[in-house]
Amino acid sequence: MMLIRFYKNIWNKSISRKDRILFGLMFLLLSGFYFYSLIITQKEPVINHLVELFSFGGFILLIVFIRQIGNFIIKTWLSISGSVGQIIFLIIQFIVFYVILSPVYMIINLMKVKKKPMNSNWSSNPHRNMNYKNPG
Amino acid sequence: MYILGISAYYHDSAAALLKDGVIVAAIQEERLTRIKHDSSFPIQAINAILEIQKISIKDIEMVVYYEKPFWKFERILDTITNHVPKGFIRFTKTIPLWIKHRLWISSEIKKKLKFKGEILYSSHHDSHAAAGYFSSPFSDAAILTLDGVGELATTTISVGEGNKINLMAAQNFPHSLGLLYSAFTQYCGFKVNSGEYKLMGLAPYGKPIYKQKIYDYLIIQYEDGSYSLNMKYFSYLEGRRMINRSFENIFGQASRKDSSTPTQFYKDVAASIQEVLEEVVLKLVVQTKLITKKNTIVFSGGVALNCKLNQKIVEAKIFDQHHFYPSPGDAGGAVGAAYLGWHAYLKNDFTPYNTSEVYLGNLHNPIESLDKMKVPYSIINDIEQVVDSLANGKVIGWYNGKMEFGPRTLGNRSILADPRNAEMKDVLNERIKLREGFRPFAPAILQEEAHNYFELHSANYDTMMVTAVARQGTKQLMPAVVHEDGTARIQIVSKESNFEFYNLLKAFYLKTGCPALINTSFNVRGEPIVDSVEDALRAFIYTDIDMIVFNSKYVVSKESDLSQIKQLIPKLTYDAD
Repeated sequence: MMLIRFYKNIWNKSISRKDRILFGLMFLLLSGFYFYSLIITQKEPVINHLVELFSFGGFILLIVFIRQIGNFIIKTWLSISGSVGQIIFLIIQFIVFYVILSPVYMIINLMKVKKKPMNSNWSSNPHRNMNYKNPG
Repeated sequence: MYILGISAYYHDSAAALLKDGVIVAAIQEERLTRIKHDSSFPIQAINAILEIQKISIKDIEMVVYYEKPFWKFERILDTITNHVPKGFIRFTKTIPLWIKHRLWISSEIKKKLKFKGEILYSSHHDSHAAAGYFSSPFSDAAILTLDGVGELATTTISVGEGNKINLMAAQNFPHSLGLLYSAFTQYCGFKVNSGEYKLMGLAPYGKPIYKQKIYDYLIIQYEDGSYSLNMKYFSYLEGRRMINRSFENIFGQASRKDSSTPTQFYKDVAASIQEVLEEVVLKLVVQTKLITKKNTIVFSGGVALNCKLNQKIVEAKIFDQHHFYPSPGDAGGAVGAAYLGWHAYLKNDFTPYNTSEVYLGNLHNPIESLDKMKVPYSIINDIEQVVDSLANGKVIGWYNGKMEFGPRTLGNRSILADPRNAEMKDVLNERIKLREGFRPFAPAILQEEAHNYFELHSANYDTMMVTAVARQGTKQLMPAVVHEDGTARIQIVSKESNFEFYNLLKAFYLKTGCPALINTSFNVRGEPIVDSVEDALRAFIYTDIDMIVFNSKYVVSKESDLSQIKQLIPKLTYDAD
């Protein structure tokens, strides 16, 4: 009963464009930290994580601006008092979304053409510019 | 017909002049600007070359630049954009240089030289290959070129047949043996692009106990001779350093940073990478043989400066004959570019040289300079006086004829000393060359005696590009030039290659029974090899060199009053290399 009353209160809250943008920015910042640390610790180039970055960014835009999906989450977030609570809520949301999206990434990775183990590194097309008048 | 070859804007700028198919002059810019490894446009070298040949720029019909700048820029941009955001600092340092100079080579040449003729561009590896092949005594050879990187290629196998060079196989950046060796150069505390030979000199003091770690983590070589580097451990794609912390963690120690003598750890690391380099390159040589089916190999590119590696190639006898170009680095690219203009572009026939012509630089008149500066000198009529001084332990500056082209001095701009004295190595390192104590010295030896003291194979030993194993008894006779591993980087001197130097060696041999002298470059640490008489006097005055002999005849000695000269020729300081 308490829970139903709690969510009824949340649903009746109004949210402004500013709230949506603030939520989106906080979420982006958090995911930015995560991906940057991933790139730094694993020392991989950004290009290996572009799919994740763009899909995550797209997902955030979705929940911020499409009312049917995002309202409930943003209203819950606004109902939490104190910035520590709000940050914890964001981290939990981040984990939840990442878990939801993980199968998507796995499917994408499976669909990528698997690199065959290398047995040569000679260039397949040794480029050679024989036009002496051409600077390249 | 005159063709001018130019290399510039990376390191070791140079200019080379070809006249009717023959290289008649070649100078590195650093010798004239006195900035080691000077990368600026070689305007002083070009002016000096024109002066040597007594021609003007109007007599030059064609200028050939040693690489394709747009292709190289494409590779650099590609690398930077693939490593955002870490490559940002590199971006800010590199791009302005390209925008200012390197993208406008034609304009630079036309503006700086007031040149109105044809401007051509060869490719980087072709320039290296051409420098080696067209200066060799062979008109049919395999050519293996290994360097850091040109436009994109780091390893190429070509075939030279007559006046043509055909590319057979290439391996591309970032997989580069040159950069791998430079990474270890940095790890062991030496400067990249100038300290590689120090790493090579350090290797004999260590044991290759880290070889397996290098294979496990850093490089893999495939059956066909190609190889891959594990870029996870290198940071030259994005940063200004060659290596990162993960690289250091492999060996459990940070990079050496101070200038003290390297510890046993770094000596072992040096030994390990030297052995890995040798093994990997030998497999590449095997592949070169399989692909080209030739009996002769020409080895060029910056990695060919590793004379210990060259020894291993020769001893492996995969090929019957070997040629190592004496200026295989980027400076030699100017020579290769000029050759390509003549043979590849103009399709002129190729007639091989008999010897590697290296005395291609400035010819100064010492008497004119000495008289102008009022330097007291004596005239000797007999080389015996010089021989006596050498035999009595004196260190002599030997200045003769045209300056050598390439990183080795071969008896025209040399410091000479008696190799029979084991302490001479320390004397030279500490008091004259002012360099690290582990650095070895090399002998120049009479042609007719060389095989009695060193194990020789089929290679050109006249330009100090190959080390040779000392025979039994050699180390006892000349301890100052046989390195820790029992080898020496020898220069075989004949009457034909250098008449005055040969005469000196012969006279020394007749007096002492030793057919060799220590031959080290006439310069101090951080300074390019001397060119002018003034450069030579500067190195002489401010070190413990006992005397200079100009043209085998004119002697300036420390016994004379040189106080006035010190006012005319101030001491210069150089960054330690």
